[in-house]
Amino acid sequence: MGISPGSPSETGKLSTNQRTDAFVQLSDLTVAYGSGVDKVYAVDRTTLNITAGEFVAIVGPSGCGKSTLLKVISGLTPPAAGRVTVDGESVEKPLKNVGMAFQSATMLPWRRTIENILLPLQIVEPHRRSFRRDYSKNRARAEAFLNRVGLKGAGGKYPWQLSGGMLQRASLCRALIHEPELLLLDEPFGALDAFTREELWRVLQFLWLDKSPTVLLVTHDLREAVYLADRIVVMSPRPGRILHEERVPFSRPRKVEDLFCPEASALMQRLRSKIDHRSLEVIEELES
Amino acid sequence: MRTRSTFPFVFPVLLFLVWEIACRSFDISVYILPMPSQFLSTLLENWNGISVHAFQTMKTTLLGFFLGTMIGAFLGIAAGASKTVYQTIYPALVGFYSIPKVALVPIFVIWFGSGTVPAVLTSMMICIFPVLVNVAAGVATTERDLQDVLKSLGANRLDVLRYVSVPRSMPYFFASLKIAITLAFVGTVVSETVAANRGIGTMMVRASADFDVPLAFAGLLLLALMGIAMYAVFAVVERRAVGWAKRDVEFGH
Repeated sequence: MGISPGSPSETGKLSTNQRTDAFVQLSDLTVAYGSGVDKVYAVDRTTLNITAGEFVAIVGPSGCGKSTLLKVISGLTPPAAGRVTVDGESVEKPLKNVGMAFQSATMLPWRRTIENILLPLQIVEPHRRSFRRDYSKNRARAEAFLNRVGLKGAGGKYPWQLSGGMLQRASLCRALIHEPELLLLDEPFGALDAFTREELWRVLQFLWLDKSPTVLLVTHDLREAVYLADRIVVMSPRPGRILHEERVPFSRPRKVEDLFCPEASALMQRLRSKIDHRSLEVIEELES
Repeated sequence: MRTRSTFPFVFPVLLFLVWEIACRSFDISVYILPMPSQFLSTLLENWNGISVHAFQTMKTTLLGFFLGTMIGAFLGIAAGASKTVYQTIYPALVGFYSIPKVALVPIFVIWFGSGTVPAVLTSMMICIFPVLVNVAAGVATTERDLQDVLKSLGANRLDVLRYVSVPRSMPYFFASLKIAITLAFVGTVVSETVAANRGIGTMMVRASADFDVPLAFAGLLLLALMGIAMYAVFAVVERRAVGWAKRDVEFGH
């Protein structure tokens, strides 16, 4: 594993990069869920910029708070205060060109796997207009995706015939088939066993290197964040604020073995120490 | 498997056997309770005459069932998808469904005259509600996550309905068809007994007027058989169409 020159110096300091070329911009964003007395602030007055093609991981106590943040960015839920812009445009309704994957694969159970993967092409412009006409082409494209994630021949199966790992592979295919510029991942590998998870990191990195969409990954797994991300943002427990931000200097493609090198260990130690005690407990609870 | 497939016939055969023996040993009058052998032979001997009535009832029922199912599914989707529609039509529908359908027949007769039309309308009316309630439940309980998958792609409400809510409600729809088809027979026969000159209902009214009790029982048996047949048809259709909802039950393996 190579380390890009001069990188470890960036550690620790909160960078408030106010560059305007950011693809995703969170400005003074407050995110809440629930209402009335049950109102909970998941994210509090947070500013974060993500450049096009960047892979950012948000680590911190998991739960509905982080999922809500992703829903706000994708436009599914309005923010309580502040603003989200994607590609220079303020997000006020669900975005068109975004891919999402959740902890549960959320496949439609009445569709075969390949038809589930084709779903975005039936919805997103300009694909939806030519979906029927280009059906065989679309199918070939979905098959190609299936091959790349190691699901060759599984397209004809129903979701309930697939294992959890296979479902998440299919879920990644569905999130990427319409070639979104922004990929939002909400702990997609959280429910998988360690080996499957590592295999899927490899698959995801492979897919990302190919098309380089901007990725925002919410996770509570530091190893996952270090393996995948260009930049890691540590958030405090509710109400979430950015505690720490750090670039991951390792060259790509990364390998799981790289996570055992001293630099990676030191990085994880550092991140871990930044996560405050309260959130650490939450994380350990979740990991056990 | 061979033994299991005979199970459904064991109970009716035993019932008829006990019935036959009881009638013979207690010497029960044919005017009170005819023996199975009597009404079975009546059914076979008069098949030509009876089949006209059976065909009429079947035709009427299927037409009413088809119309009622369409209306029920349409209203069910609307009520499941929109709170406004739900709140607007639901109380009125519950009230409407609480009216005994037999009370509607005289009104239909005033409007359309006696015969096929009131019978079709009665069976249609009786089918709407169970289909509507089931489909509405299926549409309304669509998982948020599934909807979010589509919405995050920029899907509009119609897309969500078309690709998620409606397919998702299909198991509910097909389950309700099995209830609706049996109720449709009730609607038809009720109307036929009041105002018609053909159909099993009419036949049974005439039979009881003539004290032809075996013929009346033959009518009952025929209704039961038609009900079972149609139920079986829709059970097969259900398994074909929404097998995905049944998972491990002999589907896809």
